[in-house]
Amino acid sequence: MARRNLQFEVRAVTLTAGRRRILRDIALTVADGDVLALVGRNGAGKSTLLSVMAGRLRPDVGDVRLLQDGRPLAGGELRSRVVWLPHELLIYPDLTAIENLRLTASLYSARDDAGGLSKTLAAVGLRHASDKVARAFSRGMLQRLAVARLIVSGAPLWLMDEPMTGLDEPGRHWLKETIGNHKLGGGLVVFSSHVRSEVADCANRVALIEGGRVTFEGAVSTGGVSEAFGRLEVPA
Amino acid sequence: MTRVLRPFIAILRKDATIEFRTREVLFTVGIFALLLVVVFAFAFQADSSSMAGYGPGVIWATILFFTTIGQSRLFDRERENDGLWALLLSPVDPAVVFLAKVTGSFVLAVLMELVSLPLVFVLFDLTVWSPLLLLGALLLGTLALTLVGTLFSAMLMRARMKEVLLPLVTYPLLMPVLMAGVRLTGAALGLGMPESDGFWLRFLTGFDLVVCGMSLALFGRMIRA
Repeated sequence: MARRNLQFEVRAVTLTAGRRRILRDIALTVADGDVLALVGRNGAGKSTLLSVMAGRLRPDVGDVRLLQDGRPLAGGELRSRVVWLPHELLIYPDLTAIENLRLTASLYSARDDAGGLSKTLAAVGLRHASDKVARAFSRGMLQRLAVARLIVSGAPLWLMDEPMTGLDEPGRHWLKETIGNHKLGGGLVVFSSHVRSEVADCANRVALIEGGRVTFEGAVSTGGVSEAFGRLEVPA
Repeated sequence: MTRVLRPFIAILRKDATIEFRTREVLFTVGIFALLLVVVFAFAFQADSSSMAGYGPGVIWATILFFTTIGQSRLFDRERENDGLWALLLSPVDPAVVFLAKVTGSFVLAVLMELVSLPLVFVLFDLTVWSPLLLLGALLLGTLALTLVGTLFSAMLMRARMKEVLLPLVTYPLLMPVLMAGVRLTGAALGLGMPESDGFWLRFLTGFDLVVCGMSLALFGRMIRA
């Protein structure tokens, strides 16, 4: 596995909306090659936590930081290493697939030659749709395009909110492989999921979020998936 | 330089591509601007002897209305699928995002002025005495409207009733700009007091510089807030 010497830290994050505490004292660490799965019931705070990790929301208490060789990154240097795939996908529906990727490449100072972008589109199974506007895409195709955005950005830390949504079985298999390849390249991934097999196949660590808190965190290799999903099966 | 110029051009190209593909803003807001001018012309026909006197006011009311609606529509595109966050969470400086959005809005507003203002000149029987002063007033005033409009359109993008909120927030701020625009346009059309031109031109230039400077510094933080 390639090493990037990156460490992503969520430190004592608390977030409130009005009087309601959405996240409570959350602390997590992700390092090179880690794939962390966030699991929990609907409304537990997984998507909000990912929004905080991405910088979309600012916590009331605590912070989120990315360190390279032990040095915290900030500003553009930080944002160039983090890319987010939320439910909204961040895709412009009136641009074609290749135009969306070209925009991402320009924003992330990445290569935007047509050959390279077409190769990425082929890799995500959208070669045939490269000149079609995204508005005409199915949810599964949009999800593939959104993942292509992550690849083109070249950012090592991927934050993905239920990334398998809308994907068919071959699409799920492909995404698991893509996450695996990113991990082998020393990349870091944090993703949320409700599906046990996705977590077992993709992640090496799992964190259970309940009521805005991390109530369990463990390694997949030591039975973390069974423990987390076992707790989920107990009625709240 | 490429870290600024490349994303700046990419965002401009993105907006231009979407506009040429959908033609939403140019067509709908352009037609709205023409209709406004016709409505004003009919409304003021009661006193046809002094039609020219209403000209500067009609010009600036028209520009104010179509820039407000145009900018609201431009930011609707950013709202769909949360596109603006794709820009703001990228390594690009938020100031570059703001500059690109302002440039796009400004170019669109100028294009709509090219479409609608000739009709004002015909219907209100206007004659240009000082083309340079008119050009200066239109460019500086339109820039002021697009700077303020872009900042608040982005901030209110997700607000409920943003179509009502946007004028509520921006119009009080833009009243001095409107006043300056009307005075300068009046002077350029031979209807105003030429001795105050210098003051209003300096006012508009200062307004643009201050709002632009503040927006560049605060855009990212204001959107998050």
